[in-house]
Amino acid sequence: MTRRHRHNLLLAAISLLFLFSSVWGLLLQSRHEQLVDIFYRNTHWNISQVMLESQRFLYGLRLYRAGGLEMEALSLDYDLLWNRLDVFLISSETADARARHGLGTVLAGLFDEIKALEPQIQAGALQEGEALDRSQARIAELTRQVEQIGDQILSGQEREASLNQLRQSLFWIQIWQLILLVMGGMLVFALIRTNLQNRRLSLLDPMTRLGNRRALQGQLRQSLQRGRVQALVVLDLKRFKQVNDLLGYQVGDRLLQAVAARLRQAYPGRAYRLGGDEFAVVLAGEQPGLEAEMEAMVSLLQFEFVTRESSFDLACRFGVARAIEGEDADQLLEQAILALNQAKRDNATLIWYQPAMKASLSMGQRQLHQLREWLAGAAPSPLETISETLEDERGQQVLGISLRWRVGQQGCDMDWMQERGILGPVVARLLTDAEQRLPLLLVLHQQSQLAHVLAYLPPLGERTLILALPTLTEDALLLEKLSQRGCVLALRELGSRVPALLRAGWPVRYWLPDPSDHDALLQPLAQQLGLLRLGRSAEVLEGEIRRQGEPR
Amino acid sequence: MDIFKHGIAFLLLVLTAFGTQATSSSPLLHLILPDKREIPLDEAALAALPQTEFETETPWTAGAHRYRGPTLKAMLAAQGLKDVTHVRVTGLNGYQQQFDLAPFAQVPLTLVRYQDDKPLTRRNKGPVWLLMPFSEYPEFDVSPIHSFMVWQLVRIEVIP
Repeated sequence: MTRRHRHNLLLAAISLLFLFSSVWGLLLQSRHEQLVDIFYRNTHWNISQVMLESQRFLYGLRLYRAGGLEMEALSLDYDLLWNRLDVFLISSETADARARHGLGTVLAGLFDEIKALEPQIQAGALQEGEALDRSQARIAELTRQVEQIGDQILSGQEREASLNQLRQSLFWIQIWQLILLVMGGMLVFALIRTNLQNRRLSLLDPMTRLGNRRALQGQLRQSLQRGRVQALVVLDLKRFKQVNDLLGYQVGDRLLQAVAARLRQAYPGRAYRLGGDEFAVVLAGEQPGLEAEMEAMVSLLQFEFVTRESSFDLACRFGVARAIEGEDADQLLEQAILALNQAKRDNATLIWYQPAMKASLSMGQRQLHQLREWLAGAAPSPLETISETLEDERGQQVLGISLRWRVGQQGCDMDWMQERGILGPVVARLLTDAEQRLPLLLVLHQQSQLAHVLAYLPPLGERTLILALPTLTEDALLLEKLSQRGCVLALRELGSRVPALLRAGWPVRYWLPDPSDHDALLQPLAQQLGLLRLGRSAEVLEGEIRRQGEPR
Repeated sequence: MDIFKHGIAFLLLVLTAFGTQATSSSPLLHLILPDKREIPLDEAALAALPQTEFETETPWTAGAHRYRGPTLKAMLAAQGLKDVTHVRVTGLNGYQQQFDLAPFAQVPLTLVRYQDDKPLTRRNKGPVWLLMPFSEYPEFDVSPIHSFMVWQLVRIEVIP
């Protein structure tokens, strides 16, 4: 049995005892009320009444015989005693009293004697004589017995016993109420303890035992209010995905635990895991030391991670945001994450947050929104198409197109569009809108962009689309798609693999070299492979040369 | 002689008339109003009120019996007392109880005069017994309520 099992069992037992003691307490209380009732009302009251009324009638009878009482008054006492005896001998309230010391039998005898006098009472006068003397003697004897038994019940040992019974019942009620109180207290204690434990767990990352994102936000908010935060560092592990993929997630987990252990040791209570391979550290200290502190952190997390199977050098990327007065926790965290994202893009180790990052992020979001609106047909295009006429060696003209933003006149990057998943739709829309009948040339930066463009490409019909790429690697699936769509490719570099690609059936027709001095060297190779060189048309070149020659 | 006979007959008639009047007007119980006014209630006054009848067992009798009489509420209403909240009731032997009428608002708390169509006598909790049908309202069949069921009832005092 584990500690947890024992704990649960104990809690269940306490709960049961709590319920039992509350129910039992209520039962005891009602039984106590019954006891009080039996003692005071049923026993005490009824017995004293029957004693009183039997004595009153006996003395009434003596007074009447001595001539000191009217028949009317005696008749009243007679009726009251009759009623009392009638009730006492039948009532459920007095069942207990009747059974004690033969009181019931004595009272029944008394009732018979009383009933025997009934004809004379009804007639309005008692017949003096021996019969009445005997009757009175019997009534006196029975009344004395009633008195004796009554005294025995109402005073002395029996009364004490009844009172003791009451006291005992009260004592047990108090005991059970005490148990109820203790169990209730224990339950409340358990509840508070569980609550605190749950609170602690909800702020903890189970694998690294560091605080989680919620803990960071709470702690950061508090520390910012007290002005104790100098900077927030967000970091992630370089090539962590590769570690997971190549060495298995167990190694990845151990790596994360190793990083967490170092962070916890160097920044106790100020290191957190945000999720995945991202960690955060809250820096508090003197402003001038911040750069040095960051250097220390970078070198702290630059270590060789050794496993049974392999070892590799770990390196991290850092994004740092300085705390400025009046900033809230969410803003600071966002800034540090922006700086880290910039570090990922630039493949840098450490980037400090600059306000421009935020501006560029929001501009990027705005531009993306505009593009989406345009693709949905809800807004005019935010892009301008710039066309440049090129010529191949045979003099066939080709229209090279590139994109730039209408606002700001900056070029619209293919990679940027690919990252946001809109490259394919944008190219498809451009082709649909284009009026030119000349072959179109679009320069892509990566092979993966080709797949993306092809996925959205509308039927080309009579038109020709040339997609330029830096290089190509073998990809059967891509080749199949490419031949379905009927696109033509242009290569920017002529590597050693090009002949093999051509043999495999890749539709490479053109060579689009960067303008440089090496063109001439590669020209024979291109000719040998049957690729047509694309370049600026002679007219344009002539014009440019003329412009350069003109005096400024 | 005739005159003498007639005279005796007349005298007897007058006497019996007085006699019956005297017996019929002897009050069974007294109602005390908040202004201390005392209203005697006799057999006829109780019989003139709407009667309630029920069958019930009680802790003081053997078996179930039928009881009949006007309700306390009807008796008070007949005296123009509508919103009585508390009464003090007294029995022939001096037993006294004071209680709140609110719990009895929906219960026929009755001034029982007849048990199984026979008038209650002093020897059988009479002439009037304040009683309610316990068999029909078992939740009232408890000791504190039992205390209010006063037999040989002689006095009802309205507490303002």
